[in-house]
Amino acid sequence: MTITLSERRPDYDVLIIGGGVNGTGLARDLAHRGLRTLLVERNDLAFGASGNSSGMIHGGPRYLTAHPEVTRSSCLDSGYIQRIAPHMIFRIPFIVPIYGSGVTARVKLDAFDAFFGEYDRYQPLKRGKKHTRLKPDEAAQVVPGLNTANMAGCVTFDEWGINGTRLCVANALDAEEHGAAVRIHTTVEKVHVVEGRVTGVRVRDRLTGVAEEITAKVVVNATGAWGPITAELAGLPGKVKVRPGKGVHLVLDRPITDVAVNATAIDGRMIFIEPWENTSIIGTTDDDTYADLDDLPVTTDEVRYLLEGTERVLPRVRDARIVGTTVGARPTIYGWGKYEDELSREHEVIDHAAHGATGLYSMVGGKLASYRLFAQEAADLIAPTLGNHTACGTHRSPLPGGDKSTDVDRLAERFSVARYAAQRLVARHGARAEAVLGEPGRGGRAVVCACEPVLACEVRYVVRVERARTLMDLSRRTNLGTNVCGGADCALKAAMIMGELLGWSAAESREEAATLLRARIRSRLPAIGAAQARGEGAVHAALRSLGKAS
Amino acid sequence: MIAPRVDVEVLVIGDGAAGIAAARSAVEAGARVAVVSAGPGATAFGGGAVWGSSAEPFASWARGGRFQLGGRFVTLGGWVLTDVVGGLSSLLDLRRLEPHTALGVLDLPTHPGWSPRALASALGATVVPLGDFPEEESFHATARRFDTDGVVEAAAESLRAAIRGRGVGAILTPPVLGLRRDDVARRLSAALGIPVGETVSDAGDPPSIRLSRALRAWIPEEVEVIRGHAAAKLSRGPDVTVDGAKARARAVVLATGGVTGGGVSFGGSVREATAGAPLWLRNQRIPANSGAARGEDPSMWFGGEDPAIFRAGLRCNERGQVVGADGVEVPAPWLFAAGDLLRGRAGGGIAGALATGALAGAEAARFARGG
Repeated sequence: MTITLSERRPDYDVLIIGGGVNGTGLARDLAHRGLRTLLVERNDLAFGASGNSSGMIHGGPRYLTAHPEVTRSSCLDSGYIQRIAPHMIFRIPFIVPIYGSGVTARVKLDAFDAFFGEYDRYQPLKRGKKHTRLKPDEAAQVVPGLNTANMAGCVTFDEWGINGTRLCVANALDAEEHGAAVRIHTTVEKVHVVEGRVTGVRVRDRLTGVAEEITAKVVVNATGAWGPITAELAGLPGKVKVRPGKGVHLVLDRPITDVAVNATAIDGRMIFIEPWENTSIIGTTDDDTYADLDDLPVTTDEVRYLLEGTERVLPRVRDARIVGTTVGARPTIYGWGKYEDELSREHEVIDHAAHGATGLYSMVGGKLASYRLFAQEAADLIAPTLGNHTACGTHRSPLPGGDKSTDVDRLAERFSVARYAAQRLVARHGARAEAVLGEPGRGGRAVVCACEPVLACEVRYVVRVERARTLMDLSRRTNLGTNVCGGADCALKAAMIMGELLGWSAAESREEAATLLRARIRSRLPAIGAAQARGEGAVHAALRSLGKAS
Repeated sequence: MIAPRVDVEVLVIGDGAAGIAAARSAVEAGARVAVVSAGPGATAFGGGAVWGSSAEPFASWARGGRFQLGGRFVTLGGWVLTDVVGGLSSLLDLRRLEPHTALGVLDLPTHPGWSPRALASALGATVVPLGDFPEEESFHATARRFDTDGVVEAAAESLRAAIRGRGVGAILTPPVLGLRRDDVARRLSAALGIPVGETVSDAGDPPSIRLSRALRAWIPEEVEVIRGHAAAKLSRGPDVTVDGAKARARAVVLATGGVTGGGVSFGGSVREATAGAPLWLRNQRIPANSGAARGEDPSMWFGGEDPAIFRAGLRCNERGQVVGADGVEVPAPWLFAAGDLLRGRAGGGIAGALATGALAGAEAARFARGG
C-alpha cells in the first residue's frame, strides 16, 4: 500500500460568484483557455443589472468628451459582439429632438451635430451608420406623432440592441460546452481564506437546501451591486465599494415607434423610448438605492417620471399599454458627493492579495457593451497566476447559435410553425433554433405563450439545455408570460410541461404558475393605466383559480 | 330630424353572458330588443366553464323553468363542474363519483395544458391510463373530429374495450370533446354507462368555443346585434348613442362587465364607462372625481391579493334598477344593470351573470312596456 502524500487537488481552478454578464463572460473566457471553472449564481443568470438593462450594446457617446478611449473600446467590443452573436443584435436608430427657437436653439443643434460628427469616427468599429440632421417635418415623417411644436431640429445616431439575458445564457452555455460548470440558485455562504490565501467556498442550493464545500485556487467576486456583500463573506468588509443605482424601465406591449427617441425628464436628465424586440422600452431612472437587491421595488413615482418626460416628445405614449416594468441596480463604481449620472461607468479588477486574500479578485463596474473586454482583462490577470498563458479567443469564436445564419422562412415551413414564432426563436437561439424545434416531448410544437410566442418544444429545450429550474427562469430566458396576457394564458401550461421534466407534483406546478402570475402582477402594478386595466381582471381570475385548486 | 339607428323597447349594452341572458329574457317578456356589442370580455376569457360561488342562485332560478336548462352547478376545489348549460354537456362532475372511484384518463400529447393524469392525481383519484388520442396537427383538429357523424360511436366502441374489466368508474379527457357539437360527452357517457368529461383549460380551447356558440345561440333571431361602443347620460334619458349614432330605447340594461369587460374604466379616475353612473365600493360611494391631479394611483386599486377595483360596481334595487349617489334614489328608472358591473360581482362567474342578466332583462321589459 502506498500512502498518498500529495495534497488534494482543488475541485476547480477558478470559482466565479455571480451569473451576470461579467461572471458568465469570464467563465466563458477561462473555459476557452482550458481552466477548470465553476460559476455559481444565487438567483438566476442575468437576474440583476444584466437582465434589466436598456438592452443595448451602445458605443458610450456620453464618454466621448472626457474619456474618448472608453468610447473607442466600447465601440470596438460592440463590433466583436456583432461578429460572435449576429443573431442576437438588432439596429436601433436614435433621434434627438432639440427644442427652442432663436440663436440658443440653433447653437445647441449645431453642438449636437458636431458632437455626433465626432462619434461618427468610431461608428465603423461597430458597423454603425453616420449621424444625420433632420428638419422638424422630416423628423415627423420618421416618427409619426412626434411633437414638433417649437422644435429647432433633430440629430440622429445609430446603436445596437441586444437581449442581455440571452447574452448571459449564451456565455454560460458556451462556457459549459468548453468544460466549465454552471450552477444557478446556488448561494455562497462563506469564502474561505486560510493563511492569507483563498481556498474555496461553502455554497448552498437554495431550491434543495443542500450545502456543499467546494475548493478552488482562485475565487472571483463578479456579483455587481452585491459585490460588497460578497466581499464580506470573505472577511473583507469595505474592500469592495459600489454605489448601486436603481434603473427602472417601462415595457410597452409593442414597438410604438420604429426609431428610438430621446427626451428630457423634469430634472433635465436624458431619457428615451426605444423599439426593443417586439416591445417598446422607456428608460431609465438612476437613483441611489438602499433596498434589498434581491427584491427591488418599482414605484408609481418612477413610472410617472418616465411617462411625463416621454410624453413631451411623443404624446401618444399616454395611450400605450404598459405590460410591465423592469428594475435593476447598476454596479456603479463608488463615489461620494456626486449626482448619480456623474458617476463613472468604467470597470476595474480588484486583486485582494493586498487585503490579505491572495487568489481572490473582484470585478467592479462594467457595462453590457464592453463585458467581453472586461472578462478578457480579468482572465489575462488571473490565468498567468495559474500557469496558463493561453491568449484570449473570445472575440473570434462564435457564441452558441452565432456560427451560421438561419433562413427563417425555410425553418417555419419545415417545422410547420408560424413565421413569427420562427423569427422570435431565431432571435433567441440563432442557428440552434432548428434543434429547439426538434426537441421531442409533450405538447410538440404547440404554442404555449401566444404573445411572445413560445412553443412547447422551446420550454423543454430551455429546461434540458439551458437548465431552467423554475418557471421564472424559463420566463427570463424566453419572455414567456411577460407581455399582454401576463401569464394568465400560459403560466399553468408551461409549468405543467416543466413539471413533467423536473418531477414536480401537480401542486408544485400550480405554485410555480402562481409565482409567475404574482411576479407579473407586481411588475405591472405601479404602471397600470386605462389600456392595461381590463387585462388585469383576466390575470387575477387565473390566479384565483390556481388558489382555489390547491 | 335624423332617424335613429335603432328604435327598440329594451337596449342591452354588452353581449357577454349577462347581456345575452338579459336580451333573451326581455324578448320572452314580449319586448323589442337590440344588443350592443363592443367585443369580448370576461365571458370569452372563461375557458368554457360555468362557475363561481354565485352559481346557486342561477341554478334555482333556472330550475324555476324559465329557460328549462336543468342547470346543475357544482364546484370542487375550484374545478368547475357543471353538466349543462344550454345543452352544453362537457365538464366532468367529479363530486358525483363514489369515493375511490378509479378514473380512466385519456391523454393528448399535443395539448400543452393540464394533463388529465396530473389533474386526476391532484384530486387524489386512482388513475387508470387508457391511452392517447391519435396525434394531430393541433388539439383543435382532434376536437373537430368529434363533430363528424359516427366518430362518437367509434370512440365509444374502443373505449368500451379499453375499460373492460378495469373497474373504471368515470373517464376524464383533455378538452377536445367536440368543437361545434356540444353533446359528445353526454353521448359517450350514455354509451358507456359511466360519466365522461373533459378538463377545463383556457380561453380559445374547444369547451370555450362551445360555450360561446351555446350562448350566441341563445340570442333570439329577432334581436339585432349592433357592433360599437355605446354612450349614455343619466340626465338624458334612455336614448343612447352607439359610435355617435342615435339609438332610441325605453329601457337600457348595462351588461358591460367589470374592469375586464370594460364596464368599469380605470384611467385618470375610476368610473362607470358608459353612463358615468355612480360607482360603489362596499357601501362607500367612489367620488366621481376620485383622481388626483396626476391621476389615480394604480396600486391603491389593483394592489393586494383581492384588489379593490374588482369589488367596485353599481348598486341596484331588487328590480335591477341602478340606484343613485345617495344609495336609495333611482335617478334614472330606465337604467338597469347586470353581471360583473354590479358591485362585488366581478369574478362572480358566468352563472351569476346569467342570473342577474335574466332578472334585469325581464324587469327592463316590464318597465319599457309600462308594467
